[in-house]
Amino acid sequence: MKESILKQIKATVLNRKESKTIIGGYDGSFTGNCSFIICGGFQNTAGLAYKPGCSTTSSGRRLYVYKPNPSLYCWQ
Amino acid sequence: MNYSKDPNSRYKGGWLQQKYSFYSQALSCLTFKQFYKDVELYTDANGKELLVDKLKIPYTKVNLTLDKINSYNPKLWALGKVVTYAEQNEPFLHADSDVFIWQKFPNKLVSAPLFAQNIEQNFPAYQEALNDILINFDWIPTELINSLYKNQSIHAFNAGIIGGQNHEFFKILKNKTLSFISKNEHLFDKIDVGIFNTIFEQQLGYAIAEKHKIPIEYLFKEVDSDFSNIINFHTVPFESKYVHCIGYAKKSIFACEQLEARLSYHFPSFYNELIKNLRVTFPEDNFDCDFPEKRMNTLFKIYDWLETTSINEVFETQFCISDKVEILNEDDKYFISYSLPQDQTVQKEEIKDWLAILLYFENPTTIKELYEELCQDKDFLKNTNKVELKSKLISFVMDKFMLLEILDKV
Repeated sequence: MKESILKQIKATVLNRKESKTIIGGYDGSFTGNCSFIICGGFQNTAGLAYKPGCSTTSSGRRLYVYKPNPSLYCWQ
Repeated sequence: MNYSKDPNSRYKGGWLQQKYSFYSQALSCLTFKQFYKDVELYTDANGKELLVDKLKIPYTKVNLTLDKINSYNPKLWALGKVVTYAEQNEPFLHADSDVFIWQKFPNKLVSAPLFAQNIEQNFPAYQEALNDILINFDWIPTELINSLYKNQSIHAFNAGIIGGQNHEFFKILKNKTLSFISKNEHLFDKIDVGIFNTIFEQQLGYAIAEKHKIPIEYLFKEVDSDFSNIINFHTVPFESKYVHCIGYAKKSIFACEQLEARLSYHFPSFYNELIKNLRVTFPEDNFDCDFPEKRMNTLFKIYDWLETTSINEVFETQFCISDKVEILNEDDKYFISYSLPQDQTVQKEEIKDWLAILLYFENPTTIKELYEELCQDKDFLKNTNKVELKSKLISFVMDKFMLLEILDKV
């Protein structure tokens, strides 16, 4: 019995985050890793882009688009 | 911010009930005063009247600088913080009123040009709000876009505590924030204004520091998006010296209980005076403690023990499953059934994952015994950090002992 409990504990400690009674955080929802910002260069025109590892066809793919703003520039 | 009914504004601060917001304000002030000579409040005339004149929270000085932002949208709760930072012309440390400490901060941290609680990388809440902002706003600070483009992910600092010596940084942050607000105020109905606070204070702040190459020193190196490792009331003070009840932790009955218990334990005469003053100020509200007297006495005994106990002594203390807990076997699964000490509601949870550790404590056992038995397995050790393992086991046991009374100290 004790051996079996220890085996279970080892697997849990290695693979599961500690369960705590009090947790916090901001209200909001996670939308995945395939969100990204696109800079359109000096013209700052927003557009679509490809990100390695993210599907370009999935309907779940999210792209950020911002309104053109002449004062913006992007690190290249 | 006058007379706002927003649940995150002056009178409630995001807490389960209004009274906890005042307990939090008081515990924060009082714990900081244990370690710092000057603990000042930045507020407006109404804030002074309530917190200082009526509730007598003992700040060393009150600054009424926030009167000048009373015409802004009351949901912009971080604006007062940003304005306060920009007022400073000496090295300073700003703490939120839901931060409590049991130790002074390290000199290396507070002598930095800029310091904050922790870095936040791709934390969940920003993305939705940022998406709406990028789509709807007329103007977005260049720094924010550049930081997103450079990092290809959302970087921000958490400003539970923030400060430093680079006053120019805070003045830039204030000016950029005011532009961010004024140029888009007419579009606020299209976004989540609550999360916008974290964007202009924490994300924009990080981006400005990045642009100006200002290094940021952090109190904590790694913090998960649930902030669970900085809300460890159950390991105060032998391990945790800093608690920040961030976001929806304020809605936790367990956090509210610990807040009230800690205030009444560490500062009993102030707590009693505060209750009297609250009854006078809000005669229609109930300020009786929501938790049974027996539970408070149990907590105070635990606090007494921890005041004089080191982490190694906790490690070597025997714990066992409480007599009040039932272990049930149903359909080849094990369950634990117990009453919550806070409100006596009956809980039933399957014993799996971390809860399986409880079975090890069917007979009186120390955390050290469990730790040593786990460490005998060399294959297990290859994938384990021993310091982290010890800390996690202690945290788990203390959580179930102090917050839930599932485990008893023998």
